[in-house]
Amino acid sequence: MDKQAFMSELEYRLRRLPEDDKRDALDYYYEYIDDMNLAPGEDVCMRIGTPKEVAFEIIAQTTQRVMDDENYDRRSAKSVGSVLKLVLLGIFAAPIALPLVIVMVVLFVALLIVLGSVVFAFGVTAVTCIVVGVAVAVLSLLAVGLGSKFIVLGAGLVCTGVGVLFMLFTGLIAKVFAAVISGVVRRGASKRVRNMNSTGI
Amino acid sequence: MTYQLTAPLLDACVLGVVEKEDVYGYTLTQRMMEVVDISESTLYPVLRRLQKFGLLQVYDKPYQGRNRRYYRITDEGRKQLAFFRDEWTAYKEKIDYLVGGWING
Repeated sequence: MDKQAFMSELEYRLRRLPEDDKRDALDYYYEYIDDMNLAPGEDVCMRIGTPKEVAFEIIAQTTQRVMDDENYDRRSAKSVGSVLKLVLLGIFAAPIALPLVIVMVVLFVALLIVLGSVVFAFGVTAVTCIVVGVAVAVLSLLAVGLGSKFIVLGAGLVCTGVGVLFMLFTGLIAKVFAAVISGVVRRGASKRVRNMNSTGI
Repeated sequence: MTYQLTAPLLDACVLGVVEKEDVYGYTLTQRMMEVVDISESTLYPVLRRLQKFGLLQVYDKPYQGRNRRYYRITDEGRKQLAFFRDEWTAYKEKIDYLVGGWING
């Protein structure tokens, strides 16, 4: 990327900053690149990084600065809205990582909901079978004739048995799902720690 | 570099360099890069911050038909630098005490 291309992309990425902050940053980098005395055709990004990275650094620090102003200098309290705007800007201008994190969190919540629903459905089936089975077995006393009594009682007991089997199966899948989720969480956490270690100055 | 430069340390380093003589962005960065592990884009936000806090002042000087923006330390900046120096000396001594193992002796 040559100077011209670098500067115009940087300007585009800083477009939501206050005019004064944007101008100052652009002037600084314009001058800086001149001072680097690049050979014709040499890539600007090789040395100072991509416009995206540079813009992210500027926006992140501006956000930090606005917050510091609020903490240390109450008399010039800025509106919460403007801080929020800059934080959001920081998130959306972030190199892929942050949007990706949001997507991952949403996917993770979706996974939780799906697995939870499956366990819930099996559980409800099990409880229903057991309740109905027991009820039928008890009501078999009302059936007319000894033969019918035994048939209805048998049907009730079979139903209860199926319910118990469902219950055991529900416990099993709940355990498996819990293992899957804790695996995902652990992997996510270790990845985050690794990322944090590699981004230190 | 094993130990990281945090924001206040960076502020202190920049103020320390600028106190000696006025600098422009490029030379400041190159000078600091010789000593510590920073990237070419690290210092702009630091300079901007120090300027906003009134610790540094800027002025332009023509150079080969274009402008160069110089940074100069303000009185406020000198005060802050003195504070940073005291803090650093105290901190350094404490860390030496622990890392050197003198706490046991």
